[in-house]
Amino acid sequence: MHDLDLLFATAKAQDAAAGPSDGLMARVLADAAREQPHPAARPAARPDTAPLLSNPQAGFWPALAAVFGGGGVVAGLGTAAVAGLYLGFAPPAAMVQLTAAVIGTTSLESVDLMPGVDALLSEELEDER
Amino acid sequence: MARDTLADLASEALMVLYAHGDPDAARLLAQRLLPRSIGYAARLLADRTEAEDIAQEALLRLWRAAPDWRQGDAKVSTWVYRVVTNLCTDRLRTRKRRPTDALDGAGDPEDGARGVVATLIEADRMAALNAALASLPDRQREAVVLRHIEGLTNPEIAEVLQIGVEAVESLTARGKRALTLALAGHRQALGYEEV
Repeated sequence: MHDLDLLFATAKAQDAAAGPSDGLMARVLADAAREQPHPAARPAARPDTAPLLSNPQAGFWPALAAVFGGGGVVAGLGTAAVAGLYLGFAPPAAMVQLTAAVIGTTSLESVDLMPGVDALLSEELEDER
Repeated sequence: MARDTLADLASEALMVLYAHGDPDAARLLAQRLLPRSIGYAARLLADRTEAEDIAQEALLRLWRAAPDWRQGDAKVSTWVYRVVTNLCTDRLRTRKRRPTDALDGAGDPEDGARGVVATLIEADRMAALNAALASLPDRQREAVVLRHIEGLTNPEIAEVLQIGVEAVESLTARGKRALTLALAGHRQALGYEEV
């Protein structure tokens, strides 16, 4: 073997034998522990929802808004509820006819759900002529 | 994950485990990478204490790189060698601006207590090698140490030094010739027979 190769082999063996000191290993592992990410940890609860649900002082509407995901959604639900209530008190004529047929108080031959369409269609046909 | 299973994993997989909070991955990575980093830095700087600082810093950067590490990226060992190389280059530049006696530790083999005990002869040989390595240009020294002491392949060295494989071959060949010349005067002093 060449002299230089012998020197390299000796250097390699020396490096392999001389491990890091315990102190250095401890410092390196302390660095690793400090820098290590902890992706398994749960993210903090969103501050705009969780406290409202758990805090009785926050009031009914904010808590309800938090449950459904915001005040806009609650407003939409309120509108739908009012519309349903109105339809219950003052239903359109076609709806009354259909309801009576379903319940069985009258016989149903046809239901004119869109009474204006025939007139529109006839006007269009006349225009084409 | 069990430690026995972890020990069989590639360093790249250990990096991913570390990034996901595995408590044992860092220890295994440090056991693999720290000795190499110290050995390599010590050959470049001819100073083991500075080499230990460099190795700690290189591994600190590795821990910080872990969250963005993807399997299939560079080999972890190659990455660490590259960081150690850059840190040593910076350290050597600082030394040139503010000369210290760090390289004196490499010693002159003719001043040592050679020939008395085998261990002392070996120490002299290493001192001669370190002195000869220190006399090489930075790139040649890095390439020779990575090739002949750290045992990297030429493509791996090319990745560490971020140069082409042909440039690596040229650097190692020239570096080895220069080392041979530098050591030629010490052959008898180092206890080698003439070939």
